[in-house]
Amino acid sequence: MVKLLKIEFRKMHNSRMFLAGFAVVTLICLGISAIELSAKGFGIKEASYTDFMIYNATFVIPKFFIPLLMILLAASVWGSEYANGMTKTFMLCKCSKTQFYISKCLFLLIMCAAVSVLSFAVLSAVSILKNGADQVSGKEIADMAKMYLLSAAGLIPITIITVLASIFLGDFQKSFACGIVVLLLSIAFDSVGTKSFLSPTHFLSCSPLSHFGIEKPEAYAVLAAYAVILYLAGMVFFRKKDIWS
Amino acid sequence: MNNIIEVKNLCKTINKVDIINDISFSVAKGDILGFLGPNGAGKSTTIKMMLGLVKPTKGKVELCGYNIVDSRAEALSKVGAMVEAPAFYGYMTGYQNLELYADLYGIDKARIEEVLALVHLTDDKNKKVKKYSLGMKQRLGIARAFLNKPEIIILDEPTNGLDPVGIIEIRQIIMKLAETQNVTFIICSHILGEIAAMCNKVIIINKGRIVSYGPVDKLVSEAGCNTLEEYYIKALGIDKIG
Repeated sequence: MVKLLKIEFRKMHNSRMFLAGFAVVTLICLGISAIELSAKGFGIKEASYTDFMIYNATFVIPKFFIPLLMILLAASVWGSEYANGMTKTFMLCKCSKTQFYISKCLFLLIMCAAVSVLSFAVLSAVSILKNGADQVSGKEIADMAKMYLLSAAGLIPITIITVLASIFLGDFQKSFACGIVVLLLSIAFDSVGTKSFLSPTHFLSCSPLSHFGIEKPEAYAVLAAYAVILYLAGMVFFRKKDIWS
Repeated sequence: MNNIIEVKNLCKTINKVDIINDISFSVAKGDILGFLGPNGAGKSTTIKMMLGLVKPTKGKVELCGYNIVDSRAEALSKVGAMVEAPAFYGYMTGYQNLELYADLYGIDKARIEEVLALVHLTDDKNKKVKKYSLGMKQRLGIARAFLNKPEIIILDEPTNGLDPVGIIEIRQIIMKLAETQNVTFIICSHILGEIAAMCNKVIIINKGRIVSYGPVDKLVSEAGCNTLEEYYIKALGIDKIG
């Protein structure tokens, strides 16, 4: 399985997708920060490091752009490879379906963490440069890091939903579209009502932690349930599915 | 007899339609078995069930003594295959594509050079696969099938897209490997001449059932035919039409 995981990273390295993806995340973070800090309407021009980071943690970067990138990656890693016959080719090797599935999901999990860390690093750098390093304490940075890392956990359900769509549909475009639809519906559901913690994308906006308290402990249980159930469902379906092309 | 492949009562039903209906055969070590049949006969489905890509509804497949459903990884460790059009990562070179599989199998990098030389792709190994012609991709697929020094090699239309010289070269490689290293081959093809030239045994399948199975020479002579093509037409009953 470690070999399969290494293969995923090697493929990414060879396709230059690593650099391109990280460059896109960096540019998005910088672009949106620039808009926020220059436009009057946002009202965070004079915001402290913590306020700036919280504002961005509940804004469009983790809620939409980063999940969009993860949906794109999941659809590419699964749906695209199904469609072009690479999944079939790997299934002709001596790896088991379970190992294959776990290695790809692990790769996606690592990428979820990596993009969240990157967005945290870029936004922190922008805020620290704006406010000055002496205005930011280590504790503040640590608290924000914890919050952003939890938003990485919020990427897991939507990523695995796209994986499931890819396994069922075996096509990049359809699984990408499916992921986008689920994301938009989840964001809409997350925005209304008191049951928003049931949305698979609830943690994307880090709202359970926006005040550094555990407001809804059941939100963590729902996130874990989504992750485990979707992951196991994907494994069962992939193991049972015939690979025709 | 030392049978390296055993297929017993293989069936596949999809939406209540029997795609494959009770196929049984065995292949001895060192055989080159030709797999023939019209389009839609069930050749590819049978091959896919043998390789564990498709689960049989009933029946059993054993490769080198391992059941393909229960011990898939062990069975496939001794198998190399190319099923339908070979797939590669176009943004990677031919060498890099093979390197992925070499790492998976724990094979020395020198083996990659060996198989590339075998299929005459050494000069193009550092070219991105998206720039390869169909014939070059076919050769690379064959090279990948040979990579892990398998005991069984299953090739689906291996000469598709190759020029006449390439076809002859692949035939010579197959026959040499079968003779010198006792590698067992199963070759699906529509080119009866190639099957006749390469294979010592043949299976003819039609509508999911085996129509004929046995040594090529024996089948052809016992049926009173001169060539495999004549026998094939006779076996499928095509000469009775019109």
